[in-house]
Amino acid sequence: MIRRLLLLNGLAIIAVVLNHAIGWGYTAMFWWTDRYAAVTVPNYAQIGSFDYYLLRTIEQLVIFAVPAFLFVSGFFMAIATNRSRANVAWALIGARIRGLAIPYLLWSILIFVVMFLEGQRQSATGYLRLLITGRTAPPYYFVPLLIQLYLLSPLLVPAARKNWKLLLIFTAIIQLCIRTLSYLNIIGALPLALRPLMVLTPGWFFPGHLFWFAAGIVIGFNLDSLKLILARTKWMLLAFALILFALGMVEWEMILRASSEPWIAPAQTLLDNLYAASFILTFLAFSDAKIPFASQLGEWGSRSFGIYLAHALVLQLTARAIAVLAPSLLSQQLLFQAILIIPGLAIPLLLMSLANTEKSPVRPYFQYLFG
Amino acid sequence: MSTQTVLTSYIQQEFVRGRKELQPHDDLLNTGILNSLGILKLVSFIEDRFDIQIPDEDIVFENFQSIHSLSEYLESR
Repeated sequence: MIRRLLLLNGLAIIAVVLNHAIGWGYTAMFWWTDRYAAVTVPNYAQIGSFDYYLLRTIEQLVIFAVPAFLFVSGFFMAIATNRSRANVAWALIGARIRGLAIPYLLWSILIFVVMFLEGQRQSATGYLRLLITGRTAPPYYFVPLLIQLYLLSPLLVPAARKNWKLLLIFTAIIQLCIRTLSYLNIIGALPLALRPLMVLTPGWFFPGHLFWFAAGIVIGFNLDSLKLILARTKWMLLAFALILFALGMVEWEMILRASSEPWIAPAQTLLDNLYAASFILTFLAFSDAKIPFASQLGEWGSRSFGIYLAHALVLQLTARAIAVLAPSLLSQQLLFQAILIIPGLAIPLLLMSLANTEKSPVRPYFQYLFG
Repeated sequence: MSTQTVLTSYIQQEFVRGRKELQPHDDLLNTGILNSLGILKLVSFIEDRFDIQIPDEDIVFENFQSIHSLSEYLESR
């Protein structure tokens, strides 16, 4: 089953690239409409179209990705905790954080350079704020988030050993509270007294994602028990995943209507979280099922951090190039998505392959570039 | 080739990449040579290379802490 986690990571990184390509799809649909049609922007006329629901469907399908990554990271904390020790070593936490932070910093600096060349200037404090909150690029919130979770590991690991049920309940309640705040905020029903709590809800801050990491640790310590449960419940889990996927689609339409906005940026909901949990558990439960291209998926899974770091800039530059050079493609969502996704995956993999060749001068520094 | 040599060669090639000369007792986890994905990748390699299945319960810190401990574990199977 543990090998399955590498495949889960491979699936998750494809999902991440798809998700961010979809973000550019929405940009083309709402904010770049004037490049291929005689309209003013933002233009939301395509909401309800086939293309819109195509993007929404894929977006809903791939929403398991970040929970999956956090789950695998938490699981690793359980593996990496010595059986004879009560807690994870700070040396290991430091090594993990360095392994994340250095490549993150280097790629962020590269994006800062691109921003600078585009005329976007920030003060020193501004750049620092972008780094700390992961706002250099939309996907980059994940690194500050994961660093926080690693720093919390010395609390989470002993809790997972001593009372895993309480830990899961506690972290689930925290995450549920964050989701509730988001719901209320989106539909404009957030009481004034609760507004200060919105500082807890940004994607880069740990409360909204704590459960996944904690669940990974708990399952890492209780894998044998989990296997028995998964064996008994796998078809039920699959059914849950399918039902929750469909419900998540309906839920978002209801939230959109309740918000009275023509469109709102994607936000995780409770049903999304339940779907993600079902998806991850279903994937692990069917561990004997053969997956096409499993070897490739596993390879991409092992390179997922490098793909994650590089793909954001690749997608950005590709989308903008299309907007300038071939704007009519922006109205062909299926084609636009394919043109984004292929380089979104291929270019990071190519860069890593080139950096990893025997004669490459950057080979000794591969870990600092791609993790 | 001994188990230790095979493992050293693979880890040196895939994870260390010429940054240093790996020793049998070097700590692979606390130094960041192996991270979460690295362990999973290493397990895949071992299973394919030695034609064995590593039980999930054996994928623990004690067995993966160093090349020496990993070799000892594999040779005990």
